[in-house]
Amino acid sequence: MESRRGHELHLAGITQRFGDYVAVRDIDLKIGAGELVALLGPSGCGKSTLLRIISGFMPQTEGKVFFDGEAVDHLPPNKRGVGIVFQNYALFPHMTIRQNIAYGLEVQRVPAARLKTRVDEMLDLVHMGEFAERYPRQLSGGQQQRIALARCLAVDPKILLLDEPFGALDKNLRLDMQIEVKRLQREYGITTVLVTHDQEEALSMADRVAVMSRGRIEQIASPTDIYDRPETLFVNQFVGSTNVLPGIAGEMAGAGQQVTLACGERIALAEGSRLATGAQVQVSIRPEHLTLQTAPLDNAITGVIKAVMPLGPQVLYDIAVGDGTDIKVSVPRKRGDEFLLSGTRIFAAPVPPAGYRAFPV
Amino acid sequence: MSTASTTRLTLPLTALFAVCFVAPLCVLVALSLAAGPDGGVATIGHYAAFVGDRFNASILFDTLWLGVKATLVCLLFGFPVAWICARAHVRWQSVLIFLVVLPILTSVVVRTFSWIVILGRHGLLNQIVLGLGLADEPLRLLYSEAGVIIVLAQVQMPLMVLPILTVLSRIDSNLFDASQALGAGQWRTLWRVAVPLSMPGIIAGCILTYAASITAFVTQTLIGGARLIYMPLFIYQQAVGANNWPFAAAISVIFMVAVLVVVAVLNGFGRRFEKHV
Amino acid sequence: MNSRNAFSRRDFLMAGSALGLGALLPGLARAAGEELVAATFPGTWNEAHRNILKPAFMKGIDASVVQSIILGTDQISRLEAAKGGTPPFDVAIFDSPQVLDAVKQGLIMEYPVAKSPHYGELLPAFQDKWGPKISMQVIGIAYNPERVKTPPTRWEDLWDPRYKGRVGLTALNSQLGIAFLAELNRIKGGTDADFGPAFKALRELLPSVGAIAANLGAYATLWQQEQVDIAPYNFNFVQTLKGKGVPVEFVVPETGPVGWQTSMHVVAGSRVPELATRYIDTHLDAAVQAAMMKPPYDVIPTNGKVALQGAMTQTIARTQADLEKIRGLDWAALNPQRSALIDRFNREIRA
Ligand SMILES: Nc1ncnc2c1ncn2[C@@H]1O[C@H](COP(=O)(O)OP(=O)(O)O)[C@@H](O)[C@H]1O
Ligand SMILES: [Mg+2]
Repeated sequence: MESRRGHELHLAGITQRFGDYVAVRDIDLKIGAGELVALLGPSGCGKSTLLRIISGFMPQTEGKVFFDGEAVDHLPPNKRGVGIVFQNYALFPHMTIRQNIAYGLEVQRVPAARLKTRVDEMLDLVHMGEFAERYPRQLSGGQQQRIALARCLAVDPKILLLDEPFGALDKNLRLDMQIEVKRLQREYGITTVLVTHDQEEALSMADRVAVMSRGRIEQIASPTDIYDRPETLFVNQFVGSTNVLPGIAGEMAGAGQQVTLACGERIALAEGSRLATGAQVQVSIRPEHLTLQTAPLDNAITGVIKAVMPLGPQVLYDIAVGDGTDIKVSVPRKRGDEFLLSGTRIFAAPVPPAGYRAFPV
Repeated sequence: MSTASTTRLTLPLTALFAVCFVAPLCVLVALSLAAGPDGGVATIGHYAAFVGDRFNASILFDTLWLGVKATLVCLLFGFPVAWICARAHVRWQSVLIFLVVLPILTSVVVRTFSWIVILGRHGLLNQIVLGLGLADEPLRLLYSEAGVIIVLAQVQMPLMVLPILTVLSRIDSNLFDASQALGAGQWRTLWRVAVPLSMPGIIAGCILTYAASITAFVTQTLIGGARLIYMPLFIYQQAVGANNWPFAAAISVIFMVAVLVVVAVLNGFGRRFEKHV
Repeated sequence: MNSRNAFSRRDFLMAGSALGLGALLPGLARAAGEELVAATFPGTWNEAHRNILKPAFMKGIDASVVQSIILGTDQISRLEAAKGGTPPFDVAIFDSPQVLDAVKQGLIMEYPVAKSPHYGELLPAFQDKWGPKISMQVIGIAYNPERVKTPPTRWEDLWDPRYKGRVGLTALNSQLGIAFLAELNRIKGGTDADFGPAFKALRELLPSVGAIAANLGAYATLWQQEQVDIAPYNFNFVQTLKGKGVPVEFVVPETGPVGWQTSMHVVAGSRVPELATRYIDTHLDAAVQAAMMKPPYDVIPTNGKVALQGAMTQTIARTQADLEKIRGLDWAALNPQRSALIDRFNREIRA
């Protein structure tokens, strides 16, 4: 396999309307050569629409699509050089595996001998050589997926688009395939857009994750930043789980800003917050970023343990705080540790470098 | 379901089938073996008479061949119509399907007579041709085989379009997108993906159109006239005009067998595609 | 559309008679009480029977009548299928050739002359012990006066090169087709045993022939669409077309009118023979025949008391005496040859 340079994808001001409904709103996105970007968001947020625009199946209402700096909007799907793997794989049921993989090469009029070597090469790549003469319906879901990928990669597409590719697989197989696809993508250095509504998939596979909501990109960042430094409450809530407490922003106190929570506590936010004094805010802290203690702690929220849930490597505590709201705290379980008991009065505070984050309402 | 109750359920159907189809068929075969109009010793003379005469055989051949031509023309126009229907926006789809089905809602006689008005010497088509100066004399469209084929193709169009449409609309549209994404244009996608996958519908449509076309007495006689003799008119003339029922029965049986052979061949062809869909 | 009706009934008959249902169904359909089922021909015949005969028949009696449109040949088939059971209708209407078949097969009974008061008023030529003649069909040349400027006078005019591609013919499954062929044969010197001269003439005519209709329904359409301009045709059908505004005229060639008769019969095995006789007798009534003689029916009368009027007096017969002189055809000789003639005709004309 030759190593190849990936291609850059640039979406500039893309908007898609269906009548009055805006499915995709003013998207700007630059994806570097060989990068894998995941579009993550709830169902209906416009992920597939964006893929259809990139692949040319749907002309966008506004904006431009560039491959390597060249606009491709005038090109029909069969001229764009985009490879797509569909959720249901869309293998041609009347063709053998070999014929499926050869299809795109035949379109390019690749000579017979080269075509055969190429198909064999692709079959080897996905470890499916012995299945060449079978029909798609004779393969399992995972096998079909590999073929779909091989068929796609055989024609050397500029951009690889994966639309919920693992949705139809069961959990164990899904993990295997995610690793496999990641391997192929790396090996090929192919610029890839992965659409998914599964945050674990996005976080584990992508170089960068674009979290979408209602047609917009809320945040685009590395998986770590998305998880640890969400820029909006939506991203914070959609990726991982979090405790949300209403409050009112106060004065700056040293590095962090003060917030008075509805439950009566006064806490200091992590560094870098700049909220208008007196503004209504939502304070967010992840369960695993909190620690519990019976003795008083700095910058803590106080409460009473309502329930204890040992979840394997973690213990999850459900804690009632002042005004009747609950927060959850997840504590790693160490050998020999005793659980805290229900009814115990405790203090919960962020473990540095994590801290409270606040978003304006 | 237990076999006993299955049998009980299928029994009335089987009986109905026997009474409505097998029994008349037996009578037909028996009649075809009768020596004269009043019965008499069984004979295969009528079959021998038919087969031994090249004129008769040529009528059979022409009829089967007419069916092939009408079916091909019907397919040529019917497939694109079905394709457009299947790929149309939902809002248009129902309108298009209604337009396709519309001919079924009018009697075949009415449709055929409308075609007479269109194809006649002073008909619409000839007025256009003469008006545009494309010909000096009116074209002979009525009472020609070309006319019969055109009208058969139109009259039987729903029989072709509906089965194809049914199959086409069941095909996962991602397959068409996948084909295009792999670089194939519309035509290649149509030919390599849509056509093979809709083969069961195409075969079903062809069988229906074929069977309907070769037995279309009304259209064949009204558009074709008496000089183009096809099997239905031939049988009718022998039975009613010449009162030669045994011979009419014999050629009916021969016609039926010939048609069954064609249908069986088509069916066997279709079976090869069925397993993929 | 008549041809279509005939066909679907035929389908049904074939299936029904095959199952022996032919005999069963009419029995089921027949309601208790006095109901007469009478066959009638499609087209103007049906209209004349519905508008004139039926009201005249119903006057003063408590019975109902169903008029069922069936071609003569189909009537024969249906009666044959129902033989031994209750016949599907009580009154048959035939053209001359079918009467012979019906008598031979025992499908009709002798007409009870004594119970038919108007029978005696018929001209002698129209009296028949198997059933009275109710009218005549006469053939001649029909032409489109807009395109054939000089009216034809002889059958030979059909061969005139001026009419190349515009001559019409009909297949031999109608009386018209057979009668034309027989008359042609006679003029060309053939005999009933030798149709060679007719077919030779036909072969010479073929290049001029624009269309050969498979049945009379299609034949009428040819005229309506002006697909043909000159052709042999029945006097009555021409009158019907004229009534619809189709440009067509009728002439009797100088060799004289040729025709056959139409008659009505009581079907053998009818449960209501008296009613059937009464129905037929009504058709013989001078008043009924006079009414049917008027356009749009133009039915040629057979009752000697009816004075001829209208179109028929200009072409076919000025007086009753002329009617009796119209040449008939020897159906006894023609009927057995029908199958052979059709076959030969098919081979000659096949495109
Ligand atoms: N062709 C279309 N016509 C109208 N609305 C559409 C069309 N395609 C998608 N939509 C709408 O646009 C929104 C985004 O759809 P989609 O991109 O498929 O979402 P997802 O993020 O689940 O892939 C949805 O509300 C959907 O109903
Ligand atoms: Mg989607």
